[in-house]
Amino acid sequence: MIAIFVAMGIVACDKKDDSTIKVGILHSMSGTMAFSERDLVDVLTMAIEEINGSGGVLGRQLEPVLADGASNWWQFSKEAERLIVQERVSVLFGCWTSSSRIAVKPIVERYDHLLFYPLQYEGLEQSSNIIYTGATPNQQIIPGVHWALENIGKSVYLLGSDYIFPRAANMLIKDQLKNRGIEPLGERYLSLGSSDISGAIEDIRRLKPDLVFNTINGDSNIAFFNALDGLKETKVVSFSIAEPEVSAIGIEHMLGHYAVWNYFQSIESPENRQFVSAFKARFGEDRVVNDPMEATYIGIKLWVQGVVAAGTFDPLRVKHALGYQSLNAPQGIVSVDMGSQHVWKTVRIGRVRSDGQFEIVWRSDSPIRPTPFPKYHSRSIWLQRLQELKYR
Amino acid sequence: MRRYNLSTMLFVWLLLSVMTPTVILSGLYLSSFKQAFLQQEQVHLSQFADNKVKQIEDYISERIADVFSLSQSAETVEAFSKLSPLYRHGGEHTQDYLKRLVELKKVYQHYQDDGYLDLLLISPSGDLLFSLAMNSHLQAKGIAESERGKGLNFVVKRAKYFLESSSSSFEYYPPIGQAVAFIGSPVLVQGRLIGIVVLQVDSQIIQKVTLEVGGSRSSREVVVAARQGDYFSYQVELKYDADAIVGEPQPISALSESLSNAVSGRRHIGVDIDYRGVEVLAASRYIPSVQWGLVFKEDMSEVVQVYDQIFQLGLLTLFVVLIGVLLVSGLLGSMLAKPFESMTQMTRSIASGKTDTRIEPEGFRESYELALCFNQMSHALSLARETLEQQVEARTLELTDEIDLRQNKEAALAESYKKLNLSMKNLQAMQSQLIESEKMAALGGLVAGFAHELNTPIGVAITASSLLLRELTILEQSYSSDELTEAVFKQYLDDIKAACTLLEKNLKRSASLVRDFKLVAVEQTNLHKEKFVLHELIESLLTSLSPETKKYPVEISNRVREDIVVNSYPGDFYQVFTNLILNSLIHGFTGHQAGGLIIDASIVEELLIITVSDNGKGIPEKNCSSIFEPFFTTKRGNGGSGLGLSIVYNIVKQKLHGDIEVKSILGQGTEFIITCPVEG
Repeated sequence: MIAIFVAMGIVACDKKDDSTIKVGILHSMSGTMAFSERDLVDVLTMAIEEINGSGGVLGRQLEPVLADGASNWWQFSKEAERLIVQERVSVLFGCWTSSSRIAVKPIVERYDHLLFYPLQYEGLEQSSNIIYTGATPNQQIIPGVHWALENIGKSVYLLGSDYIFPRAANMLIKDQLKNRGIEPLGERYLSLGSSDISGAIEDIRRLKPDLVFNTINGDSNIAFFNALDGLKETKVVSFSIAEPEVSAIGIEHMLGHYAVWNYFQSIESPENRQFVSAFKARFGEDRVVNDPMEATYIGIKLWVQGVVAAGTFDPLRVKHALGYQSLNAPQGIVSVDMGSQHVWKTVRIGRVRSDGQFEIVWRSDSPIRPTPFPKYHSRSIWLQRLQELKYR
Repeated sequence: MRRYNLSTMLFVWLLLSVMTPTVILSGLYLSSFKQAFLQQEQVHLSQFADNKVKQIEDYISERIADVFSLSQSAETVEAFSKLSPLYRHGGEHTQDYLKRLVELKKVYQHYQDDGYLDLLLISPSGDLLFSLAMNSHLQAKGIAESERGKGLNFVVKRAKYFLESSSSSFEYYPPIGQAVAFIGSPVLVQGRLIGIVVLQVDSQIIQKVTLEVGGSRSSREVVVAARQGDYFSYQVELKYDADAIVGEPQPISALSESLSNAVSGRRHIGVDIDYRGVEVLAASRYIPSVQWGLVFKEDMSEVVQVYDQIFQLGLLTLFVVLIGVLLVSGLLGSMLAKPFESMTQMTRSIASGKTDTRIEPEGFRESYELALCFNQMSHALSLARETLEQQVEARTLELTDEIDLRQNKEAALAESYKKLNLSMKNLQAMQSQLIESEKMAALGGLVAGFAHELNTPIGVAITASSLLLRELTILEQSYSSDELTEAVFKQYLDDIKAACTLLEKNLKRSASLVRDFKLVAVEQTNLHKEKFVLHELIESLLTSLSPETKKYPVEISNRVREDIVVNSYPGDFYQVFTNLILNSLIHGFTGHQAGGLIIDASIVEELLIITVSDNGKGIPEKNCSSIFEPFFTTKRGNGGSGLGLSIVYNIVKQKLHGDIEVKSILGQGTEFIITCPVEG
């Protein structure tokens, strides 16, 4: 009898828990950022469908729980807390802007939870509760600047939107220029959403730089590239313009200009072909994919690997297991760097083709170690410099 | 039922309670064991592989940390700021420059002691300013960058253009004939690059770190490969292939599946065929710092062997437990049984009369105490036995006396019995006399009744005759005196005629009475058997009993069918009916209670069934059983002799060879049922 009960106990324990696992998706579904962030939600939806279709994770189905950050950092912070505390999600995928990430960071840290952040950003940050799948400056801006200086020209104009990412990016670019003994011809910041680019155009017309390092975000880009049509000698290297923006701005205005990313839709690899065709099959032939979308895809794939390796959905244990994960992603091999919780990524420079896609003109030999705090300063100096930027 | 001994029962019990669950559980466990074991093995191997990745990553990170701190050190900044101007103005062969190199060699000597092959200081323009190992090929000015090796160029460019500390992968370095890696870092003063510091690391340490496999599995091996386009090369020596050359390019198609996964960055674990063609359990990992694919593997044969060992150990344990159960039950059984055996012997010896037998108390507490109690009991038994013998003797004496006494008493009893017997006979005689006298009394009653009945008509007849006589006398006188007229004569004649009619009528009535009585009296005493009609017998009886029955307001109805003819003793029937009717009237209807009495009869299969039922007050249940006993009466002192129903009972039983029973419900009536043969 005892044996039978014990045996029944074993069988009962063996029985799989078939309840679903909640996955928090925290992006702007409304407001100015919704145009970009909806694409990331689509990628997450597709990835979750793929994962569930192949049997789920540890035998459990994933259930996406969508929260609207509404392009508002305060809303992001509130929704993050709701997803963690009320919805009891196992992981968060979300944020685009640095301000939303900075708002969510203390929340995931307070609850010792796990957020996957998919955007290239200014770096100079590290949280043990965030996995950063976007590029750090040394995986995008710094190699991009180097390549442009080597291959296009040495006179430089810096143009960006007026918030933390462009300012931090330009700080790093100026470090690099200074090292080469180059002084930028000019530097200008536009308020977010502004279409008044006349000052910048006037500068460029007057200064005739070989290069504009462009960190403008949002609709200002449309006005900028439209106005730039007459100035063919100046090449623009952008750090925030990807495939969807190219078609929004207009291919004819963008033709021949450059962008620096880890991923372009035009990458020729079996992994990328599969990714692009799956997305198009799910959401339509006219849809395009871009770097943040691929970074989002990398994020959820890495999370699944982490869960499988940890054998649990517990965020802390998954986070620990994530330090050892590598993945053959659409962009190539990506690996989580144990120390920084950023991802080793390959850098690519693309030139806009007539079909609106990018022709890849350069790529790094191998994935580049993520260095959120570039190694030529100590971390404390970087944080000090960042503070100076914020309270400028 | 068969009795089993204690050891057998213990064995069976232990087998059921311990072995059966153990066997079932072990069976369940072992059946799911292989899969679980393989899963466990995969988890272990994964952990080992992860640890290995971490070890290698940590090793590279430490090296980068070393070169970074070197780049930040005051000595390095000073070295560059002093060497660079000297190099620019005069070159590396000037006395000052060489002096500076010797000084620097002392400053940096400990890096060689720490295991670095070389420490290089390189100017921002790419000139080698200092080499700790003083390698001649590097010293020579004008050597093309391409000849310094890919690794060195890589870290120099990273430092120069990206201001980044970085490491190259391990690659074969022709000048010193082994695989080395370079780790470089920019040296900046106020944001301006003044030089690049590079450490050269040989692959021995990282190979050692890589090849170290923990755990007890002897077939474990770490295989590391790096991919270069369509080729790959092993980065560490192969355990089972001494001929394989580290760093030698091989076509990518020669990669095993697990290693192919590893170099492609795919994390994986599963069964694979390794470079020897042996089946292995392999975990694939990618190490970004050195761009290695790493496979941590162990032979499946060893995994299976370990599994088999554990399986066999399980079976052995099971076997040992079984033997243990056998031994324990046997030992425990005999230990438990021993006190019982000695006590059985003792009990036998007590049974055979040796009440002073003792046993040695031994064994566990219960058996020890039981033995003590047994000894106490046997002691008490032998004491009791002695006392008993004395008591038996005394008692025997007492009993002998008592027997004598009894015998005397029995003789006296026999005497009394004889006397009683005599009295009984006397009594029986008296009873017969009484019955006779009762019969006479009944007859007397009858006679008295009859006399009373007869008295009336005879009295009337006498009166009529005296009237006749007087009328005749008057007529004679009238005739004599000639006073007789025709009218008067006519008057007298009428009177006389009337008197005569009256006389005749009453005499006839008397004659009838006499005839009836004669009939009854005759029948009453008639002891002969004859045929008679039962209805008529009852009718005549009722007539003769009418003086008595008239006293009661009871209607007696004779419902006996007239065709019932009985061949029996009519006298006895008279007797029976007389007694039953009178008994019913006297006891059932005391006072002036109106009621009925019904006599009925039927013949069923040669049996005559007669019922005499009334609706009188009934007989109490307690009396029903006694009413047929002689001298039972409820009216003693009121004329009841208590023999009436007893006589009925005797007649029915003895003379009519029938049966009689009584049914009565108190307050509702009584029914007597007589059953007797029609042919008496």
